[in-house]
Amino acid sequence: MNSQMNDDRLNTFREWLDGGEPSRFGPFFASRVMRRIEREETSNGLESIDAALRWGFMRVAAAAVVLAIAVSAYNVMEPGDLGLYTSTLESVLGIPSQSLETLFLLSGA
Amino acid sequence: MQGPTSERKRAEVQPTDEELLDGARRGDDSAFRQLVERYEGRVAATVIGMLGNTEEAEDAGQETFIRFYRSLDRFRGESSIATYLTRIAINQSLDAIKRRQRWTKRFVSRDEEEVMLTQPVHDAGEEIDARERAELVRTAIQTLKADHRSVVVLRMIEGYSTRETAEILGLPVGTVTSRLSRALDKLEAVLDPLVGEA
Repeated sequence: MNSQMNDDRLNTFREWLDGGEPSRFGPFFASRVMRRIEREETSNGLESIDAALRWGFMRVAAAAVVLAIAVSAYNVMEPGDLGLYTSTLESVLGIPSQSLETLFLLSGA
Repeated sequence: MQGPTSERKRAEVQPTDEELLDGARRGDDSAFRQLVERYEGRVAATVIGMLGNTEEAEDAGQETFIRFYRSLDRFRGESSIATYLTRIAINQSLDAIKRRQRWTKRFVSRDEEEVMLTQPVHDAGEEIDARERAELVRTAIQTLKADHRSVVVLRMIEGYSTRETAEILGLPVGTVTSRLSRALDKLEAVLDPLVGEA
């Protein structure tokens, strides 16, 4: 009963609506949609290149940190000539400080 | 000169929705464009019914097709493209209404808001033609609450049945029926003094 009444009222309003212009978007709507899609795809492409570069950099950076720690650990554990290093930093880096005379001697000058 | 035969031939070579979907999934932009052209009227009826003929409606319409484009691979065809698009369009419109309400709450005083909703759209007793009457109905729909409006748009403008409307909105059939009933009461109350025969 209620449903029938709703249907009747709906039909009346629907008939009234049919008397007007159908709803439509402005001209070239499809072109505007395609342009937005194109813009989104271009920006997505740039974002994915950016993401790939970040990912690559993170992997190289992580590998470099691991290598640096390994070399430092090796330098600390295998100091070679014990008298060569005067500080912990020198032994970690494996670069003993040299006097000018020693450098002349090493270069054979 | 093109006669009825050439028109019939052109109609015969119109690709089906499935063919256009396949093309769009393979990255053929012109196939997707044809789908937009085929369904823009349907989407326009939904978003303009929900939001009025505004820029918000144009935005919601564009966003509807962009979301459809993004979900091409997920669309399995359990419902028709029209129903799928209508569902997206309704959700986009409801989001736009929420944004509008947030904005109105922030920048428009309560009194101004009341005036906006109850302002007469036409002088009572004045003769109106069919086009004006249609415009009055459209304007009256805009005075409905968003959840009532979506039911009216789907039932009255899109022509979906109560069951289909319930499925699209994810609501029980009883809720759709009661919302429709209350929405029609409100429409009658708004339109009666203006049209006199609701």
